[in-house]
Amino acid sequence: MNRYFYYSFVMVAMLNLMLYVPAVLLENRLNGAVSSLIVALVIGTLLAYASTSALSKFPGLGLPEILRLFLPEWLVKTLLPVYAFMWFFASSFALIGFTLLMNRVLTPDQPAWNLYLILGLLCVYGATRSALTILYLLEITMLLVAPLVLLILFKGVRSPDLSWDAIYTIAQYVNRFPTLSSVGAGTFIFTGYINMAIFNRVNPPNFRLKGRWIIPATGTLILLATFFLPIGFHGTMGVERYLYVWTQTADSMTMRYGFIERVVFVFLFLYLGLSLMYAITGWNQSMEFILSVSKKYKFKVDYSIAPAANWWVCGSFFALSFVGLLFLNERIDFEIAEVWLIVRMFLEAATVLFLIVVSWRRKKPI
Amino acid sequence: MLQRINELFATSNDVKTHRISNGSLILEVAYIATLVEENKLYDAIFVPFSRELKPFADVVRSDPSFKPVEDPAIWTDLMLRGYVLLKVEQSFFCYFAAKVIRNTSPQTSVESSIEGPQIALSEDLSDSANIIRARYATPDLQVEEYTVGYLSKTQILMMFDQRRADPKVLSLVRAKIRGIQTDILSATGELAKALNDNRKRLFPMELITERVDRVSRGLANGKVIVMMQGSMFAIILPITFFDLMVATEDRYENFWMSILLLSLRFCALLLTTTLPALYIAIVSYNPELFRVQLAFSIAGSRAAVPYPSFVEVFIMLFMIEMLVEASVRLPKYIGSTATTVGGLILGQAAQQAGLVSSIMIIVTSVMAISNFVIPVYSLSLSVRFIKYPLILLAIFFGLPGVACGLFFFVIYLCNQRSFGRPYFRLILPGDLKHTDIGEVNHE
Amino acid sequence: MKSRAARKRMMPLRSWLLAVMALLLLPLGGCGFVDIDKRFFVVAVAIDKSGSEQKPYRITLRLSIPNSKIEPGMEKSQVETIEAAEISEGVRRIKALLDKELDLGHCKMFVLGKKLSHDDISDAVDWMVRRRDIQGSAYVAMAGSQGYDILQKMPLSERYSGNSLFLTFGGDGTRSSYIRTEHLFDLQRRRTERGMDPYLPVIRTTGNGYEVDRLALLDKTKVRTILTPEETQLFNQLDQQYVNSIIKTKLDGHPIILTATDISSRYTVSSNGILKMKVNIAGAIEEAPNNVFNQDWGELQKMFERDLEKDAMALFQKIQKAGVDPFGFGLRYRATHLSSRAYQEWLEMYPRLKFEIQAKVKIQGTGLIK
Repeated sequence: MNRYFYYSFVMVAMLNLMLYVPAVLLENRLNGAVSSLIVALVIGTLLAYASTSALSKFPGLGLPEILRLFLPEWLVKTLLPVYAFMWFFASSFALIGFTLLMNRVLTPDQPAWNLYLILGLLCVYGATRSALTILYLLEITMLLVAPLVLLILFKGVRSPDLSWDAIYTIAQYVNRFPTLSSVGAGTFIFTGYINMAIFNRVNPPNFRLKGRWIIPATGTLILLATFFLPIGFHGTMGVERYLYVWTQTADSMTMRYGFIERVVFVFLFLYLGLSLMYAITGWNQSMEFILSVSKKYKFKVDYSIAPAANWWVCGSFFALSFVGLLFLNERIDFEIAEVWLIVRMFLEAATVLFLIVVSWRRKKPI
Repeated sequence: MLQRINELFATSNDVKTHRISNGSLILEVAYIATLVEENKLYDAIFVPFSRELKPFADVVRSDPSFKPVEDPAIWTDLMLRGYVLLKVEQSFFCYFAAKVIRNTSPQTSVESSIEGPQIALSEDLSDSANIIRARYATPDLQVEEYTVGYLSKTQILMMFDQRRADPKVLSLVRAKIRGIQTDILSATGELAKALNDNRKRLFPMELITERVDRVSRGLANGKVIVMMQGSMFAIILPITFFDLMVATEDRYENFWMSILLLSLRFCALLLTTTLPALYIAIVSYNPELFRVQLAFSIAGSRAAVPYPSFVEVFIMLFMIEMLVEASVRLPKYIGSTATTVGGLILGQAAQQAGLVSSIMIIVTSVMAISNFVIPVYSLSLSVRFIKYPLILLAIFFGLPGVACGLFFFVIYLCNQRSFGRPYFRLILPGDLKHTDIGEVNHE
Repeated sequence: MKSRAARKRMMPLRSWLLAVMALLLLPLGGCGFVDIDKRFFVVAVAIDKSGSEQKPYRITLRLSIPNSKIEPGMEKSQVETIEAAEISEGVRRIKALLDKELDLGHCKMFVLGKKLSHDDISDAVDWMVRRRDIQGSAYVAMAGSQGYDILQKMPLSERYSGNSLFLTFGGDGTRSSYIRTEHLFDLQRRRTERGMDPYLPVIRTTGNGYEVDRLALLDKTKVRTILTPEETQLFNQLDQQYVNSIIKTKLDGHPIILTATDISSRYTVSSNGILKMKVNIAGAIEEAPNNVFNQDWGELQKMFERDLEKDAMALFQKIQKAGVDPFGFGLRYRATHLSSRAYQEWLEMYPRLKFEIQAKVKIQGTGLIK
């Protein structure tokens, strides 16, 4: 199980490399983004450590079951939809963002909803699958995607076009006071652990998470790359002029001897896989939260034919996000993202805090 | 007895019934002449009966090859399977004297190998079982026998290593075999289909093989082998997708070369499924994907083609599928002629006539050749189908469509379970100490 | 049994979803579907000043005509030009002149006219950066005269139209120390960066091809000065450590030329207004009077060093006098000085900046002969 946790962690970290996190961070690069990175690194690692140790006290139980153990039923019934919305919003928002981006770059002649149609339907199909299927899928996707993303990052770092002077210049703004929105954005890189809220259900009883040093290590690596690579490529000032700074960064690299010359295409397709995977896990967990509202719901680890309820829930997710897509554009997106990143951070921190308290209480009687 | 049998088989001319006497004993014999080897009959029954060196009734009772039959209801069944029915002193016996027609000394022909074993399984079950027993000589090898098919009464053998096979899989397979409802079972593929829940599945959930080394390797890995009378192929289950991509020879040859070949096969798999779809998507939606020079040469070679790219692709795919189909069905000697005519002459002419571009010819041939690289026939068939949905997606959505289509197939594969076991999952080393995920609810 | 029941309930929903999907698919066919042979690939774009008031821009596109036979010199291309008030309007209007869809996805070469470059390149570059189908790694250059003339010129050896320009700048073909490639993303970076200024290579037409050996230095918007070929090479050597380049000196009136195989240059900008640069060059002598092998190499190295220092000083002073900063000295100053006012300080300091150059040349050999 160890590896599945890290797949989920790396997936979330890598996905956020591209979407709203760098935009928020780079906007604040002259006032506190750098120090926020350090704060985010500490907070993110702490939250990840805390939540994984707390959850390991409850093998085979997801967040809904743990809530039921300690809270009154009415509170559980109100909290679960909130969580469901959280997961649904995060993943749909990422999917919509990526659809818009893909549409701008790759298929500008087609309307965005056209592309969202297949992406969304694919996610509905994926999200209705069983937890095991999704974990297997996660493994395959990450093993295919992650090495290539790392390769592109490495290529970027080694590129002669990268201006280290610009990076050092920005790094000097470390003495500014961290801002809330940057910290929110920075901690989002570390947020892969929250997928355990549902996937903890498939953890076997003797499960202990090993090698947690990977969390700060990869987190730092990706956080630094997210923030500093675009600066190195687009300069300390030019970087804020780009809407999708990472696509532009990838477009600035070429593989002179590669079969596909422009790195941006490779990059886009890697991120297509990542976004789909993220939305599938997100919707699946959101679906589980909604289904768990009913006390009678019995979680099944594996099934080959998805229950009808799954289809209904995920189908309505698709419909909702589809409507959302029609109303959203890049500008509103970025505004929502900034607020969302902060709200999310507090919600997550509160959940983790609850889990810790509860896991202490559980330890005592045993 | 004879009267009753004559009533049961009223219209069959090949049912022989005799009542013979050697003075001390009256013997009634009934059998179906076309199923029985009459030499055996003479040696075992008629000669000892007439000479009577020993009282025949004692012979019948002492010789274990004469089995007593209590229930008259199974008379017809026994006769149809090549038994001879005897009535000696008011008790009934049967004697197995079936004549089985089969291919002699079978050689591997479907999955050929250069240095691996050349003997294949036999069409006769007992021969196959014999070969397998010889290659897998442990007392743990268990054999269970079933009969399936209302009319064909096909004998089915299930073999497994009782220490290594998963009991859950075993009980599932047993239930599946008992639940088969069919009149006639004539090929292993049919049996494999009947063992599966979903007849519309895209990928084979079991491995059909004629190779003995594959079977014994499978047994050692805890797989279950199902074989049927009259087919030289065995079914191995449960399998993972990666078993289908491995040729037996990979184990016999140089390690590095095997790794190279394995990765080559995965590349081939990717190429054969996506190449036509990618051609459409790139040529019609995103020509900027390639480097400039290649884009220009494609554009140049397509300049004479009057149709949109997907019509061109369909023309070529249609041609190549027909070619493959024709060369499979035709006798061996004509088959090669068909390929030559189709492949060389037609392709060349189609390109010169401006019906398809020269790049398309390359795309099609690469696609066809990559398909032949896949070592298991049933998988290469499924893969031949898979490219069509991808082509449709490419026509409507371009490159993202193709990518999504591929992703769909990955989800689909991950969602498959071969007899309750994950089908498309990487088994990585290093996690063995831990309990696996998903084992919570099984307590 | 339960699963079968579930499947029965599922079937209508799933088929319903499939039907909806199929229905939605139908009207989409053909959206954005344009075959490759129905596209005109733009291989190069030139933007000039037309000189007229109402339509200040003159847009020229070089379009490749796909040809099934590919041989050097066989290639055909078409050049379309139009005057327009805005750049994008010009491109749209050219579309009306053509029978196929215009595709900018493979356009890797942008040529800015001389007049435009001396006036203001901001609008043109903004347009390029904003368009989604123009690559960030496209090459931008300045025309020696009119951009239109560059695009009209078709070198004899071209297998694909535009190929010789791509090869010149891409580094796949020629690798000359006189050519400095400028990518679009880098141009945009330099235009916006504080403490680093843009430059553009200058393309001029010659008898049967192009000549790219000069570099135009710009402030944020327009050309300030143009470097000679020798200065361009020195710039490449000092800034990018470009090997396979040469340095010269004279021995008793005979030129000696050294091919550099290893260059390293390092500099610091201190807050008291002194730029210290250290250059190390190692290489073999390529051209020299006879018997250079037996000369005192230490003496020769000294001569190389003296000349290099002199040339570099001249280059720096020329750049400084023009008020531009293509090396990014200012950025280096900002990177090494922890002050929020670093850029302001730099701006005040740059006109008075003093250069101290310390060159070290190592002769590795004299080639195959003494």
